[in-house]
Amino acid sequence: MKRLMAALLLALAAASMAAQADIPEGKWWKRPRIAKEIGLTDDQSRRIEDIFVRERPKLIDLKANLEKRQFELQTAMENNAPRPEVEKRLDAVENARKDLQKTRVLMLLDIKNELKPEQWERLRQMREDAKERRNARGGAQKGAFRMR
Amino acid sequence: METHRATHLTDEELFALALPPAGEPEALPPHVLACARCGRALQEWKAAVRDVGEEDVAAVNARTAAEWRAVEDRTLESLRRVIPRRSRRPIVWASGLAAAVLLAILVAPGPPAAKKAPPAVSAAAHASDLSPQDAADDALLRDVARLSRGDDAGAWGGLVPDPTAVEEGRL
Repeated sequence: MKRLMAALLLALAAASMAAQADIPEGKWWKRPRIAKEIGLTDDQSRRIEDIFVRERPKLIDLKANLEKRQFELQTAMENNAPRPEVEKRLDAVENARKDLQKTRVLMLLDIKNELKPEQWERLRQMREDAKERRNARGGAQKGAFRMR
Repeated sequence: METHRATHLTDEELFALALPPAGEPEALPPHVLACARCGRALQEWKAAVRDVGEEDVAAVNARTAAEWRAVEDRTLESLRRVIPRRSRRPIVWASGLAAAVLLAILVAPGPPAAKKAPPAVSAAAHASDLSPQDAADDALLRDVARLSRGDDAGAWGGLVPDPTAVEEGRL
């Protein structure tokens, strides 16, 4: 149980770290609109690409590992596996998620170091704006659900 | 192969891809690129959204309540025709979708919605910003972010019933 709690706490800590690095998702440095918006130079874009290319194999492996662990957990649940086995699978999922999150956040930290503070702040702001737009759209859709 | 089957996109996910938030880049998940079934379903969703979006705002504004109900029923019927093989559950939330899209048409400022580029074109324009390799990387980064956050419905969604589904009468 302690191991499970530790895994969950680690996952929470990683999520908190990620929230600090809440910037547009995906390969934003290759998108002309975003690059122009934050004043990204070609040199910065190249260095960020280098960081991503260095981490890409690890991200692919860790993502696949997490998906495998999730599948194992789901299978265990569907087969009504004994509680200790489910707990073990749950541990494995959260550990895999923690590893993936850690790698992602450290990569973002390296990327952040390539940007000027104002560029980073502008990226975060763009992410916030996008979130607000999505929430507004989600709210309108929920309201529409209730209309029925 | 079981894993592949488990990763097919849900109707909600396909709809989100067919109608991305305005001005926000949306990349296709690698699964959609590799899976003929999901790729075909996405094209069907895009066509359905485009059809629904091609309404004239003036006509929409002039509708009576009875006309609204008739339009909504027609929209739902067209969605049923477009997606005949999918489960019944999406039809329940598709009613919300139809209302939401029509609501979006109503509140849209400026020229009639029919004159605007449909969302599917917008998504394609975003995608064209990136080379195939960059698009694949983009999808990887988005998947990693989603999985890291733990908001991957595939992991937990099937384990317990969604309480909000009870509230909304979906169960």
